[in-house]
This record gives sequence, structure tokens and C-alpha cells, in this order.
Amino acid sequence: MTEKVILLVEDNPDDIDLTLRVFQKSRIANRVVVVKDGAEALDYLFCTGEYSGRNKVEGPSIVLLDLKLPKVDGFEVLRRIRKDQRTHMLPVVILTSSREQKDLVEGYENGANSYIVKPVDFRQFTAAIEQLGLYWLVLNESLDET
Amino acid sequence: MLGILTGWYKEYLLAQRRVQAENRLDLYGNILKDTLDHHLALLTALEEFIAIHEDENTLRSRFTVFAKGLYSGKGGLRAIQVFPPEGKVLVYPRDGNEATLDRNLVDLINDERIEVQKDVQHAIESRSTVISGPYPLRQGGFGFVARKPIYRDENFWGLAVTVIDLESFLGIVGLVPPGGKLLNIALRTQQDPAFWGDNGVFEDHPVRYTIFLADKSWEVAAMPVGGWFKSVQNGLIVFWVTGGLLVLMAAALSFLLMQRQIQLSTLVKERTALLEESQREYQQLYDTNPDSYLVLDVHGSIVHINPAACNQYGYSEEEMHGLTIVDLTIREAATVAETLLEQVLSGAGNLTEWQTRKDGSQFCAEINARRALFKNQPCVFLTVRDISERKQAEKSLAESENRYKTLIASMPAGFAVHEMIYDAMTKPKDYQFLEVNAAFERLTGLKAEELIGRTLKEVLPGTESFWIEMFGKVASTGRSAHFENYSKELGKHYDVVAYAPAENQFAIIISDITDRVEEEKQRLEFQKSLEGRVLEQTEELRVRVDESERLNRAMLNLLDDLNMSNQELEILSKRLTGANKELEAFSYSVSHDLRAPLRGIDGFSMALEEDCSDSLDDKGKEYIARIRRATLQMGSLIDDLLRLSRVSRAELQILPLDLSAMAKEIADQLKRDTPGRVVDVLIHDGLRGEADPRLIHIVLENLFGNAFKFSGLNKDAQVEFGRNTVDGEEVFLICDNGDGFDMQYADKLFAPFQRLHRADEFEGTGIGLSIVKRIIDRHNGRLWAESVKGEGACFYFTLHSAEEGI
Repeated sequence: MTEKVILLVEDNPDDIDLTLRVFQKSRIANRVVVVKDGAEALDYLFCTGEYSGRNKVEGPSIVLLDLKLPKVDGFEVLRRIRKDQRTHMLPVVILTSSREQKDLVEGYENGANSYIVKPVDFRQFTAAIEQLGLYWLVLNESLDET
Repeated sequence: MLGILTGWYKEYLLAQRRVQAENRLDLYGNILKDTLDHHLALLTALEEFIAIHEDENTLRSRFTVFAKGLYSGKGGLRAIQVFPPEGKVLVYPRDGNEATLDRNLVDLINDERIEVQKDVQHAIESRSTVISGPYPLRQGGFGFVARKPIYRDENFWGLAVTVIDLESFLGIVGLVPPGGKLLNIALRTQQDPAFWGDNGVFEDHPVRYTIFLADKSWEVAAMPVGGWFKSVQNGLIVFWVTGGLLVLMAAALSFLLMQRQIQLSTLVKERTALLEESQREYQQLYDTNPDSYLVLDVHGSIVHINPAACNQYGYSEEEMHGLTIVDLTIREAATVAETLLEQVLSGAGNLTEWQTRKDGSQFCAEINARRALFKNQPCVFLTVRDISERKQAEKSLAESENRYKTLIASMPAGFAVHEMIYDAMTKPKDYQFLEVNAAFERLTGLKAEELIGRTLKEVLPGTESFWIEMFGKVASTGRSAHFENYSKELGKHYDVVAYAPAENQFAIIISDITDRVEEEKQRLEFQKSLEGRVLEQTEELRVRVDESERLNRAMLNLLDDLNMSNQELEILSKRLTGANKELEAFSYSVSHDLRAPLRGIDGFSMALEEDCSDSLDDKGKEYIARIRRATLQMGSLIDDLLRLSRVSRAELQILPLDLSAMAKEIADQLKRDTPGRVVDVLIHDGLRGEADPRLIHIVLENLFGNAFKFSGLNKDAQVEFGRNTVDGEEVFLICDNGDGFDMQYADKLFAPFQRLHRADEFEGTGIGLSIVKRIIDRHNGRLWAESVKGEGACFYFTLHSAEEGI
């Protein structure tokens, strides 16, 4: 069984550190790959650019995707994931500050598996990430295991 | 003495010749007449054929087959023609008649031969067959033409024509070439010069025979060749010489006897020649006659036949010999066969029997049987005439009659035939019913058995005289009539067509038009009343038009003003749209970007508290707690602000709502959220309104939330949600017995971020009531509050469902 890798797509360094801290606190020991914009995320996912030499077997088991990203925004990244044969089944959780209805709708329309609003209250944020990890990394049966 | 005797003998001989000539002429005449009748009968068959085929295309397509059946080519029949109203003439056979193929009815009516033109005219006017000619035929030769006018629905339709070649026609009695060896024969039409033979024949006391035709007659005359005297001259000479010798010389008796012997033998020779000639002519007649002649012996076996019989039956003469008439006749039982034989052998006159030919085909024959002598033996002489065509024509006629009878019986229109009854002054006074159909019974309500044989006045004594006068005119003039009239006795309006099928009779075809007439009457009345109303309303309309013109002018002025403000509005609207877009971008950015640093502050504060708690004293920990409280407060403010902006931008969805149910649900939730509180909530039933459900939920949530919040210090907290009607307007109200507020600050109540309480008294952001105000505004309603500080507050709002304007 290969290790389940988490791909975190996030440009805000504070949010990156806090999210990693939550993983650590919640004892989620999976390897977390952090990319800081949409273009880098696509490079990593499809083994192009600086990630062309990446071990292809170690594909991510889940993507945590922010929407407001430099270069290529989160929706575009999501669309490309769903369009590509290699990644179209990959679980994608949108993790964003936006409570806007239209973002929520667009996210689900493009095939997001979950939409989580990052709360200001860090305790609530921690709870949300813990549940997310429990669900996607422990409870949910992914395709390559069956 | 001799002179007297000679004179007497001459008279005697002349009389004898005359009788002989008459007998012969009678025979010729009968045959000609029969043949001609046969040709004219074809016209009746043609007429029937035309009547059956109403459609002219069918008529044309079937003509050849039909005409072929009629055409025998015998007796001089040259052509059968039908001139329909349109298109070319129909001709059978086409061979030999090529010159006439392109003719049509108009050509014929306007024929360049004036006599033909006159005869055609005469036929159409007299409605009967007219025979023209003989004259040179268009298709060549010399002959005569019989034309029968055809009528359809009482209107002239066209002509049926047979063309007869004179030479062939006369040939059947051996008159061709003219002038036989014994008789000179001539023919003429009434008193016209002879068209056949020597006209002089008519001048010299000929024997005569008259053939009566449809519209004229033909005269056939005959006299011996060389004149009457010459025919008896030889006889007289014999007589004279014989007489003279008796008186003058007894002595020369032997000589005279010898002389007389010579004379006698000459006479015998002459007589023999005469008889032979006569015999030959009879034979010729016998051989060429179109009718079949059969001679039977006393046992019914055929002993002699003429060539026509061979043709007729398809046997050779030898084959025919020995057969009996029974063999040639279709009979179903032997007993009947015997009866037939008995009938024939007794010479029982005319019989109609179906005959069979050698090839098995059949024809209907009229058989005439006479007892006679043949070769000095008693025999039966049979004349057999094929009458299949006549039978066919009779059958067609019967069928056609039957068709019309069925039509009359089953047609929806009423049909009746009547006999007119006249008074002494020949004025019509009544009429008798002869025949009525089922529809007539139905349309009049009178039964056939109470009508037939009775008169109108017996059946309907009160009938208007109009009917008798009207029908009397039809019966006496023969002119048909079409009219509509009302019958008082029957209480109905009828459409009537009347015509005269026979003298003093009239037939009518009626249909019941009562419904239509009544409808028309009502329509006329309605029209009249309508006209009156139209006049009234026109006047009213005119007044209104004036008024509306005045209004129009006022409207135009108003429109000018409006146009001005519309332009202003447009500018404003554009500005507003721009502002809205800016606001949207702003709130999006607030949502995203303002919350992220707050999350950082809160997150790292917590990290500090957790990771460095050892190096922090209590004061440091309290500061961290304050930082976090302030951060969360900022977070709620941002969320509320976003909600306010969303309320302003959301599209309204107005639905009828049960506000009581919604309020109960909200109150229950609030009770669950504040488990330590006891609040007495009174929600009146049946509070309904039309509003956007999502937004009105926010309103109730806020107002109930405030009521709960501000009654928090009261142990007997009460919240009521109800409705009043003020000046006909529905006003919803939510009241509590909480802290209330000072009315002097009431105007600040609904402004964002305005709070009338300190944060340590009651927490809050000061946005809630602004949101409520915004929502009520968007429903075109009003929101206000009344309160006495320390005693409670009441919030009132109204809803007007219509979407707000810009």
C-alpha cells in the first residue's frame, strides 16, 4: 500500500502553517505536498515543469484547494483535474474563506467533493480539518485500494 | 264479240299482273321497313347508353365496346355516331368513316348543307328522331342519316346518329342495281322526285307501298318493266289470234290447232320463265334476308334453311339437316321440350326462346312458326330473329327504371306525383295523390295510405289555394317551377320543385326548410335590434371619443414631462448599476481577504497560548484571550456586513407564507439555544403574508432574537407575535416585556452599527435591525418600533408583496 499524499494548494503562508499545524495536532501523519499557486498545482498533478521527474506512483490521495490563487485560480485547477483521465476521480475539497453562494455553486458544479469555509475561530478550523482528514483519509475507500 | 272478249281478257290479265306486282312489292316493303326499324332501334339503345354514363370520360371509354355490340354491318348500316356536347364525335366503326372523325356537335348544328342544318334544328326542336337524305354522305357514297336528339335533365345534350348506305340497304331486297328484270321500282320521300329508280314509275299507275318513318314517309312504287300494257301484250295476241281463227276458218282447224299448239307452248315457256324468274327472286330474298328461315318436317326435323340461319346458328347447312328446333333451344326439362315441339308444329305463331349456337353461345330469338307446304309436303316454316339487342335494351331500360325508383324511394327529399283535377271551366280546383315516397311521408307527417287515391282537399281541407293555383300552372303549361312557401296546415316551410311528367300530372320534390326560415327570421329581428343598439351606442361613443381626445391631449403633455424624468432616471439607473457592481466586488473581497488575516491572528494567538504557555504568566494569557475575543468580534462584524450586503442584492421570490408556523419554528430554536431561559412565547395562529421566505425568515429571526435577548433580565419574560389592522392595513407586531429603549433614540435604531445598549449589557454588532429594515424596505413595507424604557418594546412591520422599483 502506497502512502496517501495530501496536496495542499494555498498561497497564504499563514494559512499553510496553520493548516499543517492542525494536521500535526490531529495526528494526521500523511505526507503533505504544498504548492503555492494554480500553475504549480497543475505541474505537480500532471508531472510537468519542475515536477516532470516526480514519482508517478505517489499521486495525491486528496487535494485541498483554495479558490483565490495566483496565476491559475482554483476553479480552473478543479476543471483541469476533472477533465483529465488520470485525475478525474481524485477527491478535491475546496477550502476557502469565501461564503459567497455563487462560489459554492460553481465549486460543486465543477465537481468538488466538499466545500469548506475556513472559519475565523481557530478552534472551529481545527475541528473542520480533523473531520476532513478522518473522512477522506480513513473512512473513505479510494479507488486504488479496491 | 271478239273485241269485247279481248277487252275483258286484257283487263283480266292486267289485274293479274297488278296483284303479282303488289304481292312482291309488299314483301320488299316489309323487309325494308323491318331493316330500317332495326337501325332506328339502335338509336334508342344509344340513348340508354348515354343516360347510364353521365360522366363523359366513361362514356367515351366505353363507347367503342358498346357500339361494336350494336353494329352488325348488315342492312347498309354504315356508322354509329354520338355527338356529345363537348369534344369530337364518337364514331364506330372508324374504318370507312375517316372523313367524319374530327367533327363535333357545333359543326353539325352549323352544317354547310342547309337541309342538314334544318333537319338537325328540327330534331332538336321536335325532340324526336329525324331522318335526312338520302344525299351524298360525307364519308363517301350515298345514303340517309337518322338523328335522335338526346336530353339530359330536360336540357338538350347532344345527338345519337346512325348512317345508312342506300345501295347496301336496298341490296338486301335485291334492288341493286335498280330495275329488276320484271319490275321497275322507284323510291321517293313523300312527293319529292324519286331518289332511287326512275321517277316515271310514279306517273304510270304503279303499285305503291308506304314506309312510315319517324317524321315523314317513303313511297315505294313498282310497275312491270316496259309498262303495264306490254306485260299483257303477249297474252292478248294469243287470245286475239285464237279467237279470229275460230270465227273465220273451220276448215283450217288442224292448222289452227297446230298453230294454237305452237302458241300454247310459247305461252307455257313464257309462263315458265316468268315463274322461274319469280322463283329466283324469291330465292334471292330468302337467301339474303337477315332473318333466319328454317323449314321443319312434321316431326320437327330441319329439312331446309337459308344462309342467314347458317350464320345465325354457326352450323353448315348439312349439319343443320336432321336437327330439331328443340336441339337449338335452351330448355331445362324434357317435358318442356315436348311442349315447345308441339307449339312449333302446331304453327302457334310468335314465341320468344333462348337459342344456342354450335359454339355454345346463346341469343334470344323471336320465333315465328307457320304451317305451310314445302315441296308439296306439309311442313312448318320458322322465321328466327335475333332479338338479344332488343332484350338487352329492354333490360337496360328496366334497370334504369329500377334505379330511378330506388333513387326516389331512398332520397332524402320528399317526392310525390299528382293528378290535377279541373272544374267545369277547366280551372284547377284540387289534385289527387298518385305516388309518394318515404321522405314525403316523413316531411309532411302524412302516411301514404291516407294519401294515395285521395285528393288534397280531402286530406287537408284547410290548405291555402296558393298550392293548387301554383301546381295547376305547372300541370297545364308543362313548365317546371321552384319556390318556397309556408303550409298553414302542416305548420312548415317547404322548398318545392314542381314539374309535369305527363299531361295533367305534376310531380314535386320538397324539402323542409322550416329551421332555416325561422333562423333567418330571428337573425333579421336580431339585426334590427342590433341596429337600434348600434345607433344608441354610437352617440355614447361619440361623447366618449370627445372626452378621450381631451384626455389624450393631457396625456401627451404628461408624457413630455415623463420623458424628461425618464432620461434622468436612466442616468441614475446606470450609476446605480455601476455602484452595485462595485459593491459586489467589495463584498467579495471582504469575504475573502478580510477574514484571512483574522484567522491568522486567532490561529497564532492560540498557537502561542498552547505552545508557549509555560513562558506566559496569567496577564499574558488574559491578553491573548482578549486578542482572540476581539478577533472573533471582528469576524462576526464582517459576516454581518456581508449578510447585509447580500440581503440588498438577493433577488426576491415572493410566495404566500404561513408566518405563524415560521415564527414557531424560530422560537423553538431560540429556546433550544438558551436552555437556561424561561420565555413565555405567544404566537397567534393564521398569520399569513406574501414575501420572500428566506428573507422574511431573517426578519423574524432577528426580531425574535432581539426580543429574547432584551428580555433576558426579566424573570417572567414574554414575547408575542400577532397582527393588527390599522386603517385597513395589516400590521404585524412582535412585542416583548424586556428592557426596551428610549424613544428619543428611535431614529437611530435601524442605522447600521448603531447600538442603544452597551456591549457589557447586551452583546451585538448593531447590524441586525439594519438588515431587518433593508428587508422590509425591499418588500415595500414599513418598519417602526415603540417602546417605554424598562417596560418592553414593540416592533411593527407591514408587507406589500409587489417587487420594489429601482
